[in-house]
Amino acid sequence: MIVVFWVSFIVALVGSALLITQKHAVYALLGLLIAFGASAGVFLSLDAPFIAVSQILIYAGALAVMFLFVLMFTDTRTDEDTGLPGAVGSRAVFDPATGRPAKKKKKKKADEEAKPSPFSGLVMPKPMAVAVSLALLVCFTAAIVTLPSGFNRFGPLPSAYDGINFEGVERSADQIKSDPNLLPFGSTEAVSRTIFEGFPLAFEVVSLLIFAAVLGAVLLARRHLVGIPGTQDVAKESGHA
Amino acid sequence: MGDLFNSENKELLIWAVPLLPLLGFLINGAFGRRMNLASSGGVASGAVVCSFIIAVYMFIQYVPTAPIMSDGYTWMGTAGFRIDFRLLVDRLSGLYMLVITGVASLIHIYSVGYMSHDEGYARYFAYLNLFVFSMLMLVMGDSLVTLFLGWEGVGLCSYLLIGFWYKEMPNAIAGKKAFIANRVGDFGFMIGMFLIFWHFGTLGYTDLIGRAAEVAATDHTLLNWACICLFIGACGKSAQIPLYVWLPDAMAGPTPVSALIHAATMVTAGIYMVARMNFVFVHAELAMDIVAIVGGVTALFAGTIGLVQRDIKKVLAYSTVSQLGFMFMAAGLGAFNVAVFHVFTHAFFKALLFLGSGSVIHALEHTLGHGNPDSQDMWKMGGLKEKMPITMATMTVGAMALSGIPLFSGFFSKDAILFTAFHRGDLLGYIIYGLGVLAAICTAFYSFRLIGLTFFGKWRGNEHAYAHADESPRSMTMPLIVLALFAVLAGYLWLPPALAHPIGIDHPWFEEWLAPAWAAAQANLPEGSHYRFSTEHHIGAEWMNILISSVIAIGVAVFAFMIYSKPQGLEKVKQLAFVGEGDAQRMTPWYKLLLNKYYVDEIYEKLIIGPIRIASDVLFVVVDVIVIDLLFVNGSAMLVKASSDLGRKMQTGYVRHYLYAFAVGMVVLSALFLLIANQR
Amino acid sequence: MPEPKVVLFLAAFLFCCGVYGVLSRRHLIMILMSLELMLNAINIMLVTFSRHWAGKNHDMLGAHAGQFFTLMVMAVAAAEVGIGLAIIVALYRRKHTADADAATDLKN
Repeated sequence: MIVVFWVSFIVALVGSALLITQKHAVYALLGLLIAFGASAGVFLSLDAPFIAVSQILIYAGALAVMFLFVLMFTDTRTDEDTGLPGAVGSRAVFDPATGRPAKKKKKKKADEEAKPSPFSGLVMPKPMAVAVSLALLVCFTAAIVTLPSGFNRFGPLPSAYDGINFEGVERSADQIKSDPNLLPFGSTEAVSRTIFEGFPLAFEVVSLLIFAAVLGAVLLARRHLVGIPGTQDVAKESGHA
Repeated sequence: MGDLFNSENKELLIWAVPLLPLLGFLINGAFGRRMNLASSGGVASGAVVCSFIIAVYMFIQYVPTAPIMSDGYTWMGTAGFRIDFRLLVDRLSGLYMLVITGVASLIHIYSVGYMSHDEGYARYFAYLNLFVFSMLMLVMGDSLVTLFLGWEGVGLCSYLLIGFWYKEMPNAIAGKKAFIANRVGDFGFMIGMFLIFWHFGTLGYTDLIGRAAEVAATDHTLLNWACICLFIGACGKSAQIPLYVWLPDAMAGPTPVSALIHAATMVTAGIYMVARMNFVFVHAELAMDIVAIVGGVTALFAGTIGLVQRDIKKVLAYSTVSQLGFMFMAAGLGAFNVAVFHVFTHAFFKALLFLGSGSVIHALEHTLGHGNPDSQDMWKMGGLKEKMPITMATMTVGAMALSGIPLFSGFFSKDAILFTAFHRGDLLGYIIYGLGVLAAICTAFYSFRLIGLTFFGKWRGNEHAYAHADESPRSMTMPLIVLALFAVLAGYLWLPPALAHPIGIDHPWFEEWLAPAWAAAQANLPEGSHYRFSTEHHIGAEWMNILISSVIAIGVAVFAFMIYSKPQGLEKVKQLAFVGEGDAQRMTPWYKLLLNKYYVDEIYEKLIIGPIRIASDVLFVVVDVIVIDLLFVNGSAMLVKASSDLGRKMQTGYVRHYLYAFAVGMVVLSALFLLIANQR
Repeated sequence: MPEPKVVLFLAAFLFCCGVYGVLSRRHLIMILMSLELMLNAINIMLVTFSRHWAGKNHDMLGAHAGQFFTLMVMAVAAAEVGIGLAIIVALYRRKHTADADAATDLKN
């Protein structure tokens, strides 16, 4: 388990680094996927196999595919090489008065693109963002370091939970296998008992939330939006072809 | 519906009594514009008549055995303070409930005829129903707070109805005057309530009565102050000196309103409140003496003003003030039952007189036009008995009851008051008795002056109006006849012992009926208190009292009638009132003083209203215009504008900037938490 | 078993990477992806605390509460991504770009 954890640890660091450095959105997405997969490994090493599997299914499966789809719909080349004139390397790209891209740094961009370098696929680090996130990391690390000694190592788990009394008990592996009421920590049965017997209302409310999200997504992404000028022409193009 | 009438539901059914008029108000208030006179008046009268029927049923069925404490809910409740919203119908409030709904029913029916030519009838009936609701809440509530709710409600309705013809300035001003005079009283009333709450921690009657013994043991200074403050409230509502000035002006409203609100019901709310709190008042001797003296002085004071008024309604208004004074006299002497008895009889005969005068005015307005002062000026009437026999007959009955002619209801109640004062046997008692007798003389005089001037003698006004004057429609005369019956009969519920004993009545119904209302107070009175109801009767003294009252009443009534029903008599009166001839004619000083109502209004204007007006002008300029308008209102607006202009510039619209703000905030917060956590 | 503090540090690092991504990127999809990374970091933290609790206490519901919240976060994240991507598509239709700096309608 400790091996799984350390491998996942390193892979997660690499994945997140990829996400924040890669200029191209699809590469960044790849980094995110790696980080997600590594997180699943971390979950596994923390005795949470059900969460680990859910992580793979939901994040790595569903969400990543959704991101890919939307990247396909929109302009993938954006960000630093946005294609918009004068969009590179500068924070004040858009003229605040008109809301349109400003034009002053066009020349510099052309210079940069002229000579390819090994870092051409990476985004330029933003000093402000680096400072803020580093400060945050320092705060968090300080908080973690000052945690009480109880956090130095995980305590031993009970070998199983008695699903009727919800109490941890010590049983042999054979007994756990033969008795359906005995649930090991992190198992699907234990988690689902927790959901349905511990937090049924929250579970139901989340279903409502997702329903609302589905409705909202459909409404927002619909092509023909009455009264919104931006969508009007789209409707004309497709609707009466 | 059948279920509603079984005895388990009396706690619920009792709510129908106040709520039916409220329903009528809501219907008339909401849909009145689309309703015609018949439906509007029908709804209003129907609601009140139904309410009356239920009230009678409840009164006969349940009230004699035990008080009805209705269902309700906690209106306000905090630690140590709880006001329930309930109705309490015991014998006292039951009697009031009956009188209010009964008289109101008749007046509603009367109003259908009276208001037939007025376009605002729906508004009128809505207000009238709201008034009945408020008045019922006033008497049926189970605590001083619910009483106060009704108290303010009737004040509002009174204001609305006095200013009913609001397009004419004097009416609007009269409404305001009533409202403000009542506010002054309400202030006192609230202080009184606070004092009682401060000391006893409750305002519910049942709670307070349950602690009557504790009340008796309380510091009497506090009780005196509380009772004086409550009495100030009663002064405002029941038009006693010094707050009586609004009631005569209140006659600007429609006449049925004067009958219902300003004679029969609302103005007696003060008496009700004093009677309700009798178990507190009996321990506040000073307050009681003040009540009695104010009552006596008001009775005489208003009675003398009533002697010279030319306006038929003004005479009745001053008469009402005077009769209310009589009631307070009785209450102040501790004879609360007599006070309530006078309220009871007065409600009938005064309503009758007002409705009768309304009938006369209605007949004359028909030709003279609405709002013409001539239609109310008795000097321009006369001989109407030919034209309006029913009105004449019923009003004469009312006048006889009012002036205390023997065997009419007013005789019994007024006689009881005078006897109470006489029987007390100390200086205060004799003073009050003297004031009462003088006031009774005035009463008999102006009552028959009114009858003589209006219905007898020769017509002195516009010939055309006389020719077209006619008896009022049946919806108006019917209530007059019913009220006349009651004006005669109501008094027989409490015959004085001198008359009752010979015919074998030992315990008159009225006295017996109300006895539980005073039981708590009587039980806690010290030996030899003035306020103990005596059990022995003084038949001889009573006969003497009856004879004196009868002789005075009959003598003065006949005298006044003889003068004012004959032209020669009128000439004599003019000679007395005026000096000189033609242009040099002047009023004699006494006549002038009375006609100008002792200049009380003018004195108030100079002493109170003038300074207040100056002070409020100053406050208006300094506080309102400069401090509030300029500094607070415009100042805060400008401050908001300036600061939001500043804030507006911070909105760059870049999502990135908002995110930075968010992240920096996160850093600062987590650093703060760390620091705090490590410091512990 | 890994040490709790190390796992928590991993979560903190991933979270700060997410913050950096959100702050530095302009493409809305990239911002959204960084947000997801932050949520993922929170999930790791929740699971860590769940495991920590299970090692100290012996009640089943309490021990799994952290994992349950992880599932909730996943559900909320899914909803959020759904809505977020829909907004991005709508924005792209209007402005023909998915650049966050193009959406400055809140200005002033």
